[in-house]
Amino acid sequence: MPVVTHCTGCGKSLSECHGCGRELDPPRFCSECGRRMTVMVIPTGWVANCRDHGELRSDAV
Amino acid sequence: MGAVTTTPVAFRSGASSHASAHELSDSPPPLPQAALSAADRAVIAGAEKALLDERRLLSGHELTALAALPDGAVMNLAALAHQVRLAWCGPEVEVEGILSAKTGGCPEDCHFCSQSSRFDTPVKATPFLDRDEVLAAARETATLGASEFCIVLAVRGPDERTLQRILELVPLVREQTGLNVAVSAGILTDDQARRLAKGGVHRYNHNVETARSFFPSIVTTHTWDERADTCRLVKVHGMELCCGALLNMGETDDQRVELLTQLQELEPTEVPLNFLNPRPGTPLGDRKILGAWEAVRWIALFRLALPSVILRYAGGREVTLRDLQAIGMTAGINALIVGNYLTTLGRSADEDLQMLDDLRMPIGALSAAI
Repeated sequence: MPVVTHCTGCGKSLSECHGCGRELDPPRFCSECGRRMTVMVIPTGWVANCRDHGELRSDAV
Repeated sequence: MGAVTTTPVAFRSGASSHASAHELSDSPPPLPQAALSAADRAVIAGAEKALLDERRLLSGHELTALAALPDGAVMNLAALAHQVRLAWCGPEVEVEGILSAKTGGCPEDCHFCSQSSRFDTPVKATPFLDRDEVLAAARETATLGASEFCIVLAVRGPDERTLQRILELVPLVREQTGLNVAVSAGILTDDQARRLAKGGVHRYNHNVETARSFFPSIVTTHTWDERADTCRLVKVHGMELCCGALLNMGETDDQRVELLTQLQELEPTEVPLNFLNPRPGTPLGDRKILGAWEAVRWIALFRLALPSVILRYAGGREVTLRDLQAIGMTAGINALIVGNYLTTLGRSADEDLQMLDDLRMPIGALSAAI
């Protein structure tokens, strides 16, 4: 189970940012390490990839 | 009988699930309760006569007069725009899916764009998707009931390798899904436009975004005229032109009317109407979101200025219009992007298809009006 320690909107630790990611934005930063992810957005979903923590998908993908 | 009095109710802007309270436009005053003046009604009647009886385009002066009507006239504008849409385009709604096939790393400095390499945004550059990824996205789009699929690339213009990839993908997508394929790949040379047309590209997108007079405030790495030149090349070589706008970057109402007259001159088949969704890290990242009622006004004005175009709901409509999205569909919109956008998410396709079903608007593929 991943440990969520970082904001997916800006990558800062949750002690610095309580979560600035918007509902209609895919996660841009890894919730485990704060690293910026590569994100593919397609009409029906998204796939995000952290170099260290692997792939995260929206439910629909 | 005594006079009727009302107790003013404080206007509540509120927060929504799509935008935090600080991002919404400053609370506007309540809508006026008085009926329109005779002069205002005459302006609307003049536009109705021009568009529905004389079947001619409105002039810049006429559009300026319509744009100056008070907020209480927005529903009148919307009603007229809906009649114009039906008379000039019919009742069908075109549904399209778009795909960011090459994301980020763009060398241009369009101030609204999170994909520019010049700004420190959360969007990380990714290379051109492989063929299977593009085809999978196209198949998913077809299952949503779309008739159009647009392959979008964050580039100034296509280099030869990119052009070859596009030319390989277009017929594959068409053959495997039946979708009309549109492409958005920046500024084109004459030869590139010719090759894309010959390669089966149905429609080419290149937005002018804003008025020519305001463009230098938004982009410095290329000019509005360069964009307009690409638009003309698209038409010369027989592709349908998709040329749209992005509202709420700081332009004035006069500049929005200027844009409308410039779009009239370019004669696009399709006009995607985007509303600024302020992106973190971009120069426009701190702008307030456009008020929903103002958005409805300008949807109607776009239809009144461009009666025969496919007027498409594009980026930013969920965060801007929120619960008023259906009003836009009866204020001139006759097409929409379904599902997600290039780097941001849209609402579910099911919600949009339910909206169209509730409005009793049939879905169909549209083309240049005769």
